[in-house]
Amino acid sequence: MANTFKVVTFAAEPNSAGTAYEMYTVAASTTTVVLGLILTNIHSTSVTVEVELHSDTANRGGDNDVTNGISYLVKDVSIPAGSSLELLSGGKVVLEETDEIKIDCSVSDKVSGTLSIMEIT
Amino acid sequence: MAYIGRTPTPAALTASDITDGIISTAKIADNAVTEPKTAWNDVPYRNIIINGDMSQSQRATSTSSVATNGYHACDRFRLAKGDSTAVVTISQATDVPTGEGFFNSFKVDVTTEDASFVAADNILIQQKMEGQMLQHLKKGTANAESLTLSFWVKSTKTGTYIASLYDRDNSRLISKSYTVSVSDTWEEKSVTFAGDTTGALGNDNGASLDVWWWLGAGSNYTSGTLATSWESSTSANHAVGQVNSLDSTSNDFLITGIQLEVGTSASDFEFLPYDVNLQRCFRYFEHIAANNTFIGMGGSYLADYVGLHRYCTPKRGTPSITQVSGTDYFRIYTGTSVSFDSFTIAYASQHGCLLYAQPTMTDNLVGWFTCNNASAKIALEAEL
Repeated sequence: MANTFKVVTFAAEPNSAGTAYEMYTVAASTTTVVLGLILTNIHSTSVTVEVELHSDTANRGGDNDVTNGISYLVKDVSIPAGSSLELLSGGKVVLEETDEIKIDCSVSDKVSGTLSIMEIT
Repeated sequence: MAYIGRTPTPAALTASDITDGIISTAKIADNAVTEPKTAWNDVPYRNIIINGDMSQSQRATSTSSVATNGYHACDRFRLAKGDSTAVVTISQATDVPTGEGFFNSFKVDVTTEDASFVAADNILIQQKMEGQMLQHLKKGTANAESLTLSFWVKSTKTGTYIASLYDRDNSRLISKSYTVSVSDTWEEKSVTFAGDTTGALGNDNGASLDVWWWLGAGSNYTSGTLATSWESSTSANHAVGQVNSLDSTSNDFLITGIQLEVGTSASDFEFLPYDVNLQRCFRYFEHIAANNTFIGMGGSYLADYVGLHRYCTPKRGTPSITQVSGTDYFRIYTGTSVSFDSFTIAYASQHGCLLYAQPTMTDNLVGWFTCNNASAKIALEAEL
């Protein structure tokens, strides 16, 4: 197994407020550990953001043989102008293949993101 | 989760975020409570009404068969009555709202009903107020003050009632309605009258402003549109909508806790000490003596007897004497006693007078005089 550290960034998303921007999708045969996520308000006033984890993993068998759904790592959290929100700085999130991290913002094109991950293949 | 840079400003607290009674006195800085926050409830003598708790009733505690205008029981409160054939008993009652601190009320008990008012009929309770007591209202100026009238009322007859302010100096009036919702149940009412930028009140001891509580009114007073704003007095607009609370001998109307104050909201009733309240009433009516009690001292001048009487408080104006007199109702004691029927008043001012009798005395005697009959009564009146 190989461990690869990566950074995924975007400058200004989402294209349309209310339609979450797909920031990262786990590749096939890959498990990803999210090490950190920083979202930065690049607007002149406060914005609110949400971070969604889309997971369709299912059929593990045994007691947990259920299909995952969409969870929110944060929802409608306010970021003042000129400030950043540092997520997942302590606890880590594990992503399985095809899982996605999506970002939404109350104002179009006014949040910038940096995602630090380690991919295990 | 952590912020880099500024953290969001917390949402402002709303009243619902604060638990009732949770803020202690220590949490409030001494200088944080400013006068505007407290003045409305702390201004002494803010109640323009005198004897609003009905605790003073010098003339009588009850007068039956009242069919005419006049002061019949509680000091300063007058029954005004025009044309109606109703007959009532006026009393200082002990029926009061529970737990409010009152011990007396002004009661109108209908003993002869008037179920069918003719046009000119009217009957109301009133208090007349001196203009020099009201200059702070700034009536007739751009800064005229609003007034709020609050009171407790209990009436057998439910429905719409009218309370009015009448400016006697300028013949202007404003009326507000209130509703008695439940029969024979004490209810607290409050109405606010806008300030009047027209018509200054005379700065003198004359009657300038009245408060009226209507009990019933004929069409001369109800056929127009209620004067909810100050206007030149038009009778038809005085009491539009007023129920007839005199239409049955089963009906009673009681009122107490009356307060008229500057502002647009009613504060707690301002209880004055009993003696202070009585002192304020003395300005208009002073009971001197009754039954077999002492009246004063004096001496004989030629064949007459003259006694000096200094009032308990300066009167509003030169008073007149009010007495219950009769054969030998009064008596003078010198070397011997001499009875007589009545007094007259002489050299009266706002501060004192001579009580004068003509019982045929010997000149140059000093003595004292009393009531000499259980029914005898003597008082001075300078009412509005």
